Amino acid sequence: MNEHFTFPPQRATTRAAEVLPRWRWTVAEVERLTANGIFSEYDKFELLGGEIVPMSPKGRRHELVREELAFRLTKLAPRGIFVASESQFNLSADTYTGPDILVRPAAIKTPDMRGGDALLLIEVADSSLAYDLKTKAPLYASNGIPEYWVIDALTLMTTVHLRPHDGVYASVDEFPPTKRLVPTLVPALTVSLDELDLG
Amino acid sequence: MHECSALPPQRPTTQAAEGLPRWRWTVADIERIAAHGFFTEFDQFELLGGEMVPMTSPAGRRHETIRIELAQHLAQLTRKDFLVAQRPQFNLNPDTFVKPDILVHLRGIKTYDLKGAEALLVVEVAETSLSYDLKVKLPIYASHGVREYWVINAVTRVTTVHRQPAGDIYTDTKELAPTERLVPSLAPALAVSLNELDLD
Repeated sequence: MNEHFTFPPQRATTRAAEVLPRWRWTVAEVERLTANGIFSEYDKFELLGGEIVPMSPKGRRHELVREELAFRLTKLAPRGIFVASESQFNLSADTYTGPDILVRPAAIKTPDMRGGDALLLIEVADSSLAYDLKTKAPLYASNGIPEYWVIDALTLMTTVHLRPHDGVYASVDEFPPTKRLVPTLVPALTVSLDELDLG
Repeated sequence: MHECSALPPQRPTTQAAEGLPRWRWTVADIERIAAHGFFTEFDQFELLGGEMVPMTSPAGRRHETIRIELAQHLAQLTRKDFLVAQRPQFNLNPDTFVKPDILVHLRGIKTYDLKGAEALLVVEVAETSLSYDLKVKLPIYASHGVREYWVINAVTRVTTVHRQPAGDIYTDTKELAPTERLVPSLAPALAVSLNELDLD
């Protein structure tokens, strides 16, 4: 890490009002807050069921995996397929996430997408592994995302979730980095994680 | 209730991110957001440890009658150097404000600038909110040094008087019937029995 690098101010989080009914923000309201300058450029968060959940800071390894994989998938992408990274994915009126990689039909712009329009969604996890597996998986399943990968940035093990049904994925399998991962809806984006140049 | 009155739009609440670390708002943030016109007159909430907690609304006839009659009574008894504030924004720390039903303090300090230990008396009237006032608000008031905190059960008119804050509890707690005289220890001139009030 660059010794001259200073960390951005980390936003404090809270669980003070656990158990209580809390204020529910909509996506539209959060966008108005942003337009009114309430948030700073360092404020990265997701909106889950009306609650603002700050994203944990990304580690070096997380960013390497995310960038290299996004680059690889973009190069493989056939015409009509778009590979987006860290886009705001609006799942409902009070929920959006910022998935590490979102593969979609080029014809549907990200802000207009619904869950079922996604072709493949990938989260790279270092400190966020439990969050991606336990919180995000049911969220993505209940919004009909057809295929969801969680990549452990450290081990490069990938948990592939398929066949969303009633808020869970009916098929969940874990694969090592040597395994060729074939996205069901976009097989052209087949990749083995051990091909990535992670330095 | 007047049969033609339309209920105000009730803001939906959420517990979707239970257990997760959530955004922590400051009082200053909330005031900036309010200045942009985000909240309507119906949006009543408290900010507890950085989280916006909508207040139970509507409060109910019994609650409102006790709150208004008691505040009026205390205001009439009060000397010139005391102030009886109703539903003020009481800023307890940079990420917490509450809106107590009644807050009594010395006139020399504006309510907005008041610190917890400077309050002479805080009163919450509870109809549906009894457990909220006893389990959630009590530790907040105690830990911010509020020296006397009354919770009036709007149904039974029994008042729980809390004194001697220590950490997040009060070490001196007693329940007084509506016939008994409630004497604020820091403002004894405001002594009152609830059955003196016109509550019906």
